[in-house]
Amino acid sequence: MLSKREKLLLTILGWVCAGCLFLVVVLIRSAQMGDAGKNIADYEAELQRFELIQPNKEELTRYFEDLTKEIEREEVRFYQAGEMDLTQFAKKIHKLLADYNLAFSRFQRTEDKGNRFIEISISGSAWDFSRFVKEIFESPKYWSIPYITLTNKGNKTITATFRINYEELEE
Amino acid sequence: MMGYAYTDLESHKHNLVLLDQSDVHLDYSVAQNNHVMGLMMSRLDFDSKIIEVPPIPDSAVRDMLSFKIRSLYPGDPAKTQFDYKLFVAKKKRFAVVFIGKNPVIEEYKSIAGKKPLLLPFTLLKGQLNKCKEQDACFLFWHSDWVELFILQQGVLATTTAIKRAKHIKSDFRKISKILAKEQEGMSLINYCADDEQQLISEHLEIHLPQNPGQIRLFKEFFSHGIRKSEALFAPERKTKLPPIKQRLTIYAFALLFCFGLLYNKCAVNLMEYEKYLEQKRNESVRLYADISSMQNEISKLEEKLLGLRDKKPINVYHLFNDLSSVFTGQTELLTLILKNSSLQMEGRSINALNLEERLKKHTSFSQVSLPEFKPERNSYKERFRMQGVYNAQ
Repeated sequence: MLSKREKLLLTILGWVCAGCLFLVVVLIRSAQMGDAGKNIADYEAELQRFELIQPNKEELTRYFEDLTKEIEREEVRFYQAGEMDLTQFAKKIHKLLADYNLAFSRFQRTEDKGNRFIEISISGSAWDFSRFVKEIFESPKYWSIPYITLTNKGNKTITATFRINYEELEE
Repeated sequence: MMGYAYTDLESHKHNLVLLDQSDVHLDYSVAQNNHVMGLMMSRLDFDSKIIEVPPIPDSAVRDMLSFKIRSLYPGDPAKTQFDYKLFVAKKKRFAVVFIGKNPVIEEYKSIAGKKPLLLPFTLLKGQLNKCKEQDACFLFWHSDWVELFILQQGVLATTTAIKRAKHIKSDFRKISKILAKEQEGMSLINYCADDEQQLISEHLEIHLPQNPGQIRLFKEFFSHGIRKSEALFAPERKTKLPPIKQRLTIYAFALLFCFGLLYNKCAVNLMEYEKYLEQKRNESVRLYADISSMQNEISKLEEKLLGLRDKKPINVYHLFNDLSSVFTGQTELLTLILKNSSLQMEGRSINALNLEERLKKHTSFSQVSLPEFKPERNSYKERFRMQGVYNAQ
């Protein structure tokens, strides 16, 4: 059996141990809580900033898709490199002139600042020429007329000199 | 149907009946069944006293009552048992003490099993406390006996039981004798079974006309059960607490432990919240990175589309259409020179300035100028030279 004094000492020891344990737990947890509190304040501020600057992702995605489709639509109208050459193109134009009863007085290949064209001088009905031009610009691929001189000869006839080419996508 | 069973041992009526239906006999085993809430003992088997309790701790009340009872009943204490119920009236404490013989009480206990034992006071205690009248008498009409609870100046003064005679007239005669002359006018609150309600009501008017009477039915008690603490002769629970010094130490440890747990829980919660926020922040950062890369992609695509649109050739057919919408029938175009988007025209019109104005208003043309125009000989028209830029593709 323990004496009264021993019991008292044991009780004191128990209290000291419990107190130390409690103190250690409180100190460790306090430090953790302090860090956590600081981090929470930082995260909350960051999240608030993100909420302010973040645009609508769905809207952005939709715009991205629209842009992609638009580019695809545009690209399809350009020739790929090597898909067309000037000879093939000249043949097509020659045939078109004949289709629209336009007589040419000159049909030549020319070059200006590194760009090659077909330069054509034609005469014929103004109506036929406008249909010819319409056909050119309704073509599924882009054909361009960067230069044209048109002279009204009266009686609904015209003479025109123009340069024509096809548009090609750069590699 | 819920109810209380009743048995009378002292009179050797060893049959168990339902309290409000004395003709329904039950087996002893039925008392253990769920529809029986408790076992009503015969009031005739017990003696009852009302004793004022001095201001002493509850734990000392039993000893005090034991001492008083021994002075009232000079018999062998080992052959009797007593139980009591405390009530407070006019700021004083009273005990209603029930004394019975050992074998009788043991027999009741064996019949009741785990069901509580009760006497009319157990059921009427609540009603007695609630009674607003200063002087009143509660009568509990059992088929074998009647118990009277007399309240004087709001305090339960006496409780008496009488054995019922063959005829109810005799019962009323006994009751009249108990109720002293000075208690004339005292209201009588009668509790009885359904089948006796009519009979008691009639006889009340005949035999006790000076006392206003009320009849209530036993059914009132069946709506709620009785608490274990209200049961009579229930075995006492002995919970011996450790000494106060030890208890205080235990409480202090428990308090410290609880505080520690609480503090720990708070810390854990805070850290969980921190984790949750961190996760949410990371998600937001990822989303922001996605959006940023998408915005970069979009910028590149916009640039690409602009480049494609720049390469798109001028549509000469559209130029012809736009010019024809501006030139009226009075205007004749003689020459047209288009180089890239620069436009030069010569023609005849009745009003060259008007033509210039219309062309300037047209959205497809810009930098429109009319450097020269002059009237034509032998004509009402003007010959003009015009320049501009064609914008539409």
